[in-house]
Amino acid sequence: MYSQEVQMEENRIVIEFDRNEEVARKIRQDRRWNGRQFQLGEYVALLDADVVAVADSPEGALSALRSIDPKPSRGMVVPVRPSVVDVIR
Amino acid sequence: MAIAYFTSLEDAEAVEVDFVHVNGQVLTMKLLVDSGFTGEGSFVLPREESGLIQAFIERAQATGALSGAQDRGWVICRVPGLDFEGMMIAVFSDLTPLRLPAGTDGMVGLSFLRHFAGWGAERAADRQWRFFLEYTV
Repeated sequence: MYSQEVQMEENRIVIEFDRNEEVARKIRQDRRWNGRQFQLGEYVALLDADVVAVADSPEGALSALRSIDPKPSRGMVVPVRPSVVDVIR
Repeated sequence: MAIAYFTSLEDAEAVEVDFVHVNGQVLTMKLLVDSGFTGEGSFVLPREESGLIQAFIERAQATGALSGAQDRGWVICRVPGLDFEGMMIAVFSDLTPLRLPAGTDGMVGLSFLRHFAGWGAERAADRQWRFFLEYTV
């Protein structure tokens, strides 16, 4: 029973992550989402694929996000700037 | 202005960085300095340390020793000896392909180094090499 609940929670985390990720990619590519425009340099907090806060720093976006949902496994913080490839050695 | 010094490894430079775990504890890690690690990520950390992730960020592509879509997260970091704290992006992965020097737990890249007014390696009066980070509040 316990492991089933854990599995369901893990599934919820994955589903929410995937939904947030889809929104994050659109925000970074288009700088807009759901009729809302974002500025370069802003940081967007997402929860359940909805924008819940916009801040001038990642710390500000994180603080706003955690005031709504304290679980680290929930939500996403997205920098409004073009995506880049990491070159690792 | 404050400067933190880190004893160089035999054939590489490394820094010590404190990370704030989501449970509030602080984890100190010794990280290889690689200014050739470029992009949005400041750190490459072992996947098993995902408890350091304060918030997710979307997966992103990497190229090099680590390639393909990488799991990433926002971490809070501090540098011992400096009044510095930052929230930066870390890649979380299996580090085996990086062949890190013994005693190192991960890697810092150019995005991390550029938070500082100066950084580099120098030979101290005792003839030993050391790496430094110079921070201006």
